[in-house]
Amino acid sequence: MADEALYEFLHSELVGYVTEKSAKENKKDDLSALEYMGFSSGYRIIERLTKERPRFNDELDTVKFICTDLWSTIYKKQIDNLRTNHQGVYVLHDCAFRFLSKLSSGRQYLESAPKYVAFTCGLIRGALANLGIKCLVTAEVQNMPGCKFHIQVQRS
Amino acid sequence: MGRVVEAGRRAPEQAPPNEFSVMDAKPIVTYAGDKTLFSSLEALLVQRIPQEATEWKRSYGRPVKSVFTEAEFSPFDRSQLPKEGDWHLIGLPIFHTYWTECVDVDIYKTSVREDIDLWLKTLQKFGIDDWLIVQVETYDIKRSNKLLPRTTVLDKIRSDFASKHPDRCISVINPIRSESKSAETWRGLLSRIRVLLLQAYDTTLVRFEETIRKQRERRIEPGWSFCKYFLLQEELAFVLEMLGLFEEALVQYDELDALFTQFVLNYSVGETPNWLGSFQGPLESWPGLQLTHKVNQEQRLLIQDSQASLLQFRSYLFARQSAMLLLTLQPWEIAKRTLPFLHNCIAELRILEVTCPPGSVACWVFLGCLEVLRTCEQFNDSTQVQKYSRFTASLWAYASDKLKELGELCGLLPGMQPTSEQLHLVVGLSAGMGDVPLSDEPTPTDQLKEALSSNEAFKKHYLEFAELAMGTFKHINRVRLARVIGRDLAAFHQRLGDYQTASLFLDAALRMLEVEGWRSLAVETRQELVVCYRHTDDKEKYVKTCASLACSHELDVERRMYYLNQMVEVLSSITTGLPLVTQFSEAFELLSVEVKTDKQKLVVGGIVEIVVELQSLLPRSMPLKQAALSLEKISKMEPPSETADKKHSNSSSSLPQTEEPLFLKRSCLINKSPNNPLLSRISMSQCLDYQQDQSLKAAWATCRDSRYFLRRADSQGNHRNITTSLQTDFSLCASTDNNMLEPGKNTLVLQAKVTEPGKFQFGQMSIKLCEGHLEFLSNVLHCGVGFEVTSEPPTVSLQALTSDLLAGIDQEVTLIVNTGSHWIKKDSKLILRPTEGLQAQLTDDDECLLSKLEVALPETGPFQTTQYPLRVLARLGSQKDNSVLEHKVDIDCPWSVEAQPAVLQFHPPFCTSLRLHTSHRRKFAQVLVTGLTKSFLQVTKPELRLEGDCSSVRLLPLNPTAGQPLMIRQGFNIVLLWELEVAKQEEEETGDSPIQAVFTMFYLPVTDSHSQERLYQCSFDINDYRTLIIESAKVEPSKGSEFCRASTMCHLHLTVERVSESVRSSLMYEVLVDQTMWAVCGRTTGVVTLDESHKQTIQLDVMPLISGYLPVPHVRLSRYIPADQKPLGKAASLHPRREPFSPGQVFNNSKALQVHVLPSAPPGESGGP
Amino acid sequence: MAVCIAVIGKENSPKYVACLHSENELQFHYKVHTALDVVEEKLSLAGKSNCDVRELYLGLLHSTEEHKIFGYVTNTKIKFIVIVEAANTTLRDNEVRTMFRRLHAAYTDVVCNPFYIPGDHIVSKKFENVVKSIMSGNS
Repeated sequence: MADEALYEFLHSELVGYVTEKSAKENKKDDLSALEYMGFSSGYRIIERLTKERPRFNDELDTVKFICTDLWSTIYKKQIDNLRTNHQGVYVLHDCAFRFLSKLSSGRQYLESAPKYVAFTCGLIRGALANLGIKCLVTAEVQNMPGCKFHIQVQRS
Repeated sequence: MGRVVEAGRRAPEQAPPNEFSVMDAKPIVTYAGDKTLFSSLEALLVQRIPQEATEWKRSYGRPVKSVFTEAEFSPFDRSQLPKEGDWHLIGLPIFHTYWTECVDVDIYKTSVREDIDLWLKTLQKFGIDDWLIVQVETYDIKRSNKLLPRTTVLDKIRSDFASKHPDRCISVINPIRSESKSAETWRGLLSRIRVLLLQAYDTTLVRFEETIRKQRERRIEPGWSFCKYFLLQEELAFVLEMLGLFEEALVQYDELDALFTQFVLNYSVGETPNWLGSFQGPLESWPGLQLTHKVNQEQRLLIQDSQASLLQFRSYLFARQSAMLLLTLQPWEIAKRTLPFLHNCIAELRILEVTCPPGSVACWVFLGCLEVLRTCEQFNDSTQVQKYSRFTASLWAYASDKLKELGELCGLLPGMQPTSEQLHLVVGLSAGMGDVPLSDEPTPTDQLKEALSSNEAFKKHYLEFAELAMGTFKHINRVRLARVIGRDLAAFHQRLGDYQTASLFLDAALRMLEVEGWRSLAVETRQELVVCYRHTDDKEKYVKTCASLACSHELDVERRMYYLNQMVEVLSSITTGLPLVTQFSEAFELLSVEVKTDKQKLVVGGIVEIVVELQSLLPRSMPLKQAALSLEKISKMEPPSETADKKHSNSSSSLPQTEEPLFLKRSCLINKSPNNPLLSRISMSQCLDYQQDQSLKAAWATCRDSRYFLRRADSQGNHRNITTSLQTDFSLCASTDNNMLEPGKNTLVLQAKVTEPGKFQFGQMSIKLCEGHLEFLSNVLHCGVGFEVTSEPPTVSLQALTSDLLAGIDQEVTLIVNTGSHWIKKDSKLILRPTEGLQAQLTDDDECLLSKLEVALPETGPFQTTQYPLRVLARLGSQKDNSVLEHKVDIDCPWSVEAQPAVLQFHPPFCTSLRLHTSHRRKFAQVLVTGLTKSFLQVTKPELRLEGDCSSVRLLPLNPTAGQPLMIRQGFNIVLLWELEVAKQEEEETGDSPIQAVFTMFYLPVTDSHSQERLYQCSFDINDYRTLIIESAKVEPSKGSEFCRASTMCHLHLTVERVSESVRSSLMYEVLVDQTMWAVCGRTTGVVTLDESHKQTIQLDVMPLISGYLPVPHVRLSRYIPADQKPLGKAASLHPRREPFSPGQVFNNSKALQVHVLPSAPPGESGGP
Repeated sequence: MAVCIAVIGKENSPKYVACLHSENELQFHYKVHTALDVVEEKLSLAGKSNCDVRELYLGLLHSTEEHKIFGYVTNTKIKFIVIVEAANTTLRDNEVRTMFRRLHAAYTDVVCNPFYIPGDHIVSKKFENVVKSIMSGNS
């Protein structure tokens, strides 16, 4: 249990530090640094997580892995709902996203929510990047602590 | 009645004695009993038995197979029955039949029964249970009518012999006699025969397998021979093959294969069975593999006698396995097994320490490959080809490798001359291969012998095989392997002296290695290419490759130096004028680019300095001829649309899109970010979605330029693509000349002169070495670094030091010249052209003020402001009021065609006005000098003089001459007085001509010591300076009253006196009163004429309305013009008109006179109204 | 007991190649390089047939007279190639699988190192040690 709390605290400190730094440099609302940190982490951790796993069948299989194994490992739960249009767009809906659950359970502090999901957007992007899927991940928060991650895969 | 049954093994056909075909073998069925009967049926049986397949049910749960059986009949012979320990299956009878025609029970009882009994006993003695008794009935019409006997012969037979196996007796109607009736029974017979035959095989094979197993278990015993065991198990395989169960036969062979392999492996760890020694003899012959369906009897016999060598045994076994595979139409499986098989054999030869003559194994391998390839090629079907090509490609490669090995051994490679020893060797090898029977096409053995016969033939064959290998690899899309074979071919061609072809192969290999980033292999290939280029005398490529090698850190320094020297040497011999262009990234690495300027902005005509840091990979310092960075002007940003994307993908050149980047950086570090676009950063930012009512609907973490990020991969191209850059326009570039480039980090400062405004970004980098003959051109830099050149026009302005400029006094203004973004050349000048009345001069200059001033400008840089203090003097003319004097100064500038105007406004320091005062007939001219300045001006020598005809007038100054100096300032005015003496005029009605009075004075600003006194002049026109009429009014109380009282009528006595002769007309008088104070009773106006008398008095009635000191009502006098008289200068009018007098012409004596009005009398007082 | 171990990146460029004996190193480079053809073939076949070839271990790719080449592809498209001597007959399939497992574990550690930028050559000493121990057959 202790490791869960550690991760949450570390993440919120990270968000605070990066926000302060970008405010000093007059780059408010810029979440790129957080996203890239998440990207780097996701890229690396997926190597470890897929070590024992047999090969993925297709893209959908890979995204499902993210929804189940990756999420369970990091956020101790699975994604609650996955939707896709089978054309490269996926929506991952987490009804109780761990980093937002301590903020509020409604609309309070909604304007601060994007900062707390940027890292995870990068995490997903990095994980998929290492598995050979280039994509863009954005996040939408309407009612905390629920969060929807939108994945858009590059068509090739 | 035993018939002597002649039996004997039927001799095989007259095939070549070395091989027989198992497939052609058939199960042997014996027949006993009525031979003649059988003979008549034999043909039919032989024909019909194989016509249908039968389900073969086997024991031990083996899968049921559908088998077509055949049969070959031979007479029953006891001596042919299998004996104990006899391990043959093929050629031995497996099934036994007894045929009889007997239908008569009695005959049966007498002879047939005994015969059958004897037969059966013989069989039982040998433990054979597989027999069938057939009773052939001849259908007789005659008989049919008869009742069937109670027990038929068949029943009897059955009861006698086959009570336990009723199906072993069967009755059939002779088909020869009656076709139709027998059909069904005949079918029954056939199926029974098939079933029982297969059953026979089942039991036999089970027994046989038992034997095999027992034998296998005994393998550790001394005296056990693998060869014998092999032949044993092979019998089983033969039977299976015969029955058409090829896969199962293959399984048997595979088991034998594995067993043998295991034995050899065990040998390597020390187990040495005796029989293995037979395989360890020195290799004496190495005939090639021969893949046929047939069994090579010769080899089999050798095996039987334990005389076979390892290779012979292995060849035999592989051939058998291949035969099974061919029969099941799986050539790819053969091809697949070949390579492991060959490798395995070689390994076994090594393990068993078999001495092999040099080249023998290579020959054998080669022949084996070729045989397999030839076999596969017989299958032309495209799916087959596809399947086996995956494996035959490696076989081609292996064959060509072996051929090369042989070529080297026998001195047949190009450039080699075989020695006599080598010729001897070839002969020996050819002998060892043996001879192969002639066939239509050349056999592999023939081909190899031919290839070894001469250098020419060898070359032909080797090239053929190698190219086939390469082609097949390409066909199956194993490009890397194809390229590696290309390298081998290149080496061969080099030996042949054909460096051109070799370089083509090497180039293809190099390209592939570069794309995938195998640097050390690429360097190796390059080194070989360099040799080729030197021989083909392709100087350009040679130089480029040397350059590349000189910069490869995989090589040691010595070699790199060598290549560098080579490069310089050969470069000097290239005579074309244009520089040789090669890739920048071969030799240099761009680290950072920075626009180095100070804070100020860049201007047209200025010099931009760009600091470039690059890493030189050359091994030593080289003189740099020129380093240049091309600049491109950025045009307007195109709207991101479909057309822009299409243009991007359609453009064939590598010129960048002239999109305005989001921002222009001043500097950037190149190559710091990962090359892989997969690892690129995205810019993520927060975005809040608000609803209509300003409440927050959703908060997003989203990416702005998502379209750019997700654009299709093919439009980006492989990020590791090696493309040669096209030269962009270097007409606009920043460059530096003649430096030295040291190995490692270099900092270069490039300069460019900018000639037009706009935004510029960097294009390509080019480095020229070796006197400009070698140019390294980079890819287009997409780093977003650039600079902006602004162009600001220069401005000129005049500014007053103090807020208000005064006219008439030396003032100081500053001419401010701001050069903007331009340079002012030497000897430029500004010309100031003020409007009339303004003069200017440079303050430093002591020259007098000019109305056109030239200001020389020194050479000035951009964004500099210089100031030139000027003295200006605006002429002060007659200033009668405080209106502002505006002067415009046109400044002619050398940088613009139009003159730039500057406006200066001057305030008058004072104004003067003249007023005429009258006292009876005396006139006074008063000049008022109103000061308007903040500081004092001293006025000296004020004078008033008359201009023009002034005979009738004379001025007398009344000003004090001595005393305090006259000072004027705002709030401080001077009043000067002169008396105007007007000569008496005798004539009448002549107007006095106006006179002009000119007032002059000298003024001097008190505070300013430099300025001098200036003269001020102002002319006034004095009109009507003669008093014409004096009027006086008096208010007297009405008769009887002592005082004037309010609301009591009083009398106003108006006296008008003419003092000048010129007034002869009538006068009109008007009483003008303040209505609140006076009420005029009666007329307020009237006319009075002064023709004869000088004076007239008029009495008017007025009534004061209030009490107090009331001013005497004012009476205005005007000229009265009757209706018919022309007024002065105007057209006649019908109405009488009045013409006012000028102020000086009428003197009011009772001006400002007041009358004391007492309040109205209280009633009772005397003196009522 | 391998004579050469190689790690190939996603775009088939070498990230790490180590040979037991330094002579003939280039020959091993070539062998690894050409083995990639077979790897690609197997991967594309696996995709099509969708059979149970979802294992990461690809088995024997190719053999020559002296060597056998084995391959392994991770989910992240990193390829490991191990070359053993053909004469080494005592080598069992399980041992080869174990080699790859250890290699995969070591590689994962490299990736998790924040100083390692994916796509670069592997310079980690720890990784080198693991590879050396795999090559020399120590467990």
